Amino acid sequence: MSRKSLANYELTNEILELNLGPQHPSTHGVLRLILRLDGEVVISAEPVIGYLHTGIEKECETRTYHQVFTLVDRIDYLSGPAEEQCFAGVVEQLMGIEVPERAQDIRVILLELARIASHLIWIGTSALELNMSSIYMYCFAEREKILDLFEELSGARMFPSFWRIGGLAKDLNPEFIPNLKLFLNGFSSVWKDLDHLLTKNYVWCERLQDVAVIDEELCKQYMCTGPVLRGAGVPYDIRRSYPYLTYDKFDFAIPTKSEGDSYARYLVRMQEMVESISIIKQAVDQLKSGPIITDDRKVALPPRRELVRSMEAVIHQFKLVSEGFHPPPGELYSCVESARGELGFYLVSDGSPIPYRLRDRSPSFPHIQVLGKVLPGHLLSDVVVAIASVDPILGDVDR
Amino acid sequence: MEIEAVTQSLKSMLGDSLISEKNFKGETTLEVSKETLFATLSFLKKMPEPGFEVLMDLTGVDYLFPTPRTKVVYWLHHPKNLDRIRIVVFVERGTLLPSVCSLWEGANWYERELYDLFGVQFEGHPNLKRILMPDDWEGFPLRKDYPLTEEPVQFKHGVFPKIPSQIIRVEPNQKMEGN
Repeated sequence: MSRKSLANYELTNEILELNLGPQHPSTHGVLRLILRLDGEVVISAEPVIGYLHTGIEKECETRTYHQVFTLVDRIDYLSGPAEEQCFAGVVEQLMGIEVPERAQDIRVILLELARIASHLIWIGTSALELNMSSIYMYCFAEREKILDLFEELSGARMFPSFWRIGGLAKDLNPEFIPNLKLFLNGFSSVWKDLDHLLTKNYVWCERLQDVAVIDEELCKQYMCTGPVLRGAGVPYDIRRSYPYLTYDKFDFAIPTKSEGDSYARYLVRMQEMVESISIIKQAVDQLKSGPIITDDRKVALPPRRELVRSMEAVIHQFKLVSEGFHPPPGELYSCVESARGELGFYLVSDGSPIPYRLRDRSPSFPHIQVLGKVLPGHLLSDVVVAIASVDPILGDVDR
Repeated sequence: MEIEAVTQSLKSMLGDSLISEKNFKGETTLEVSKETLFATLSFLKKMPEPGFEVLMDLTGVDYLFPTPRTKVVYWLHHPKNLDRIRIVVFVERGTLLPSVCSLWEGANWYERELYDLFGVQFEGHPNLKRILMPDDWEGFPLRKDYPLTEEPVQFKHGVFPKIPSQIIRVEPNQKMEGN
């Protein structure tokens, strides 16, 4: 099939302005697209965002660093652990805090589980929008197992709130590793099912190939990252380029494809799930025992058994809970690889327990912008596929 | 190191317009003046080969002391060396900045967001209107003198005015430098 462009069609020059409104089952959130159509051909598409803007960045300027975790969790609501890690990472880097190795390995496991969960939702909802609802059910059933793991660990399904500055809130519960191994053993057959159902499926291939081609030059102009950039042929992954936690110890490949269309992005995400499973297996194998949070009492709460014995522990606890800790003044940027791309936080600190400015560099914001550039020349039915293929999360876009 | 070579060549090109250079935790921040901003960014987009081709983030920080102004931050990324550099420019209320949409098309929405939330105006921008807030909103929310307001629930028998629920702390900690 040739590349989609306006030149392929006979246009009648009667323009219909169609509002793919914020309330729509297929726009992956409250995204509004003002489409100008000639028949079924899209002449121009203008994305309008802001329907989910809740002012998180302003609210972060009124809370202490520990309280900000609850806000920041919910920006990218399908991969909460990635946001928590990014925020914890930027504060720990600013203060020069060393996270113990066991906590780093557990953080890697939780991050990769969140990545698999996010990709499962992506495949499920994308297939649902193409009227393949049984795949939606398979993906959500598998994701339930991951959410059960999170729930047993911390009490909350999507937003475990498990990260603390300097480590984790508490250690893994005893059933976590056996249940995780059960999940890992069962996942490969589910992956094979999805692969068998979708990858060589005639309808899937015809609807996804050559749709929304985002090549490398466009990625550079529009700052696209993540599977969009890797689908265009650039092997850029923050876990390799700017390694954080213990990712430099693990052996994993960076899947890339060169076509840059939606099908390439689908294949990249499928392969990323396989690589995530491999990382989790390696992390579980080399999980050592040890402390779960840093010893620095100015930053991390003391363990409760110390409170009955030591006056200093009580004072540290009081200061940390009521006032918070004081990072050095300065500004810093730190990024992680979330399921959607480069997620970064730019933190400006003035030495007080409350951040002066916390900026969230979200991966989906430029991806929605590039849609407006790439959609002209496609048919109306390709618009849904195109929006789905860049995997936007409107919470991330609007904050 | 590549970044030092780049900053040296920038210093020789800009002379006095390079107001300050900071190195904090491995990140280089260069503060330039408004007039030389576009020339600096065009230079960095090409040097060192193949250049800081990606503008990863374009954002702002608002200050009220010593004068009310906004610091616009350009965070550039070099795809080959994986270096990153931050270019910073201070904008007083009501002054214009040159738009970088001609260098990076993707800066369009980022500049709209800066206008929407901080009130920074860009000349040469094709479509400078609000992006996140409603189109008829008054005021610029992320400025430090804009309070954190609550939207009260609209009851059947009346609409109640917005209450500023919390004033953002505006006096800076005395340790804060480079305001």
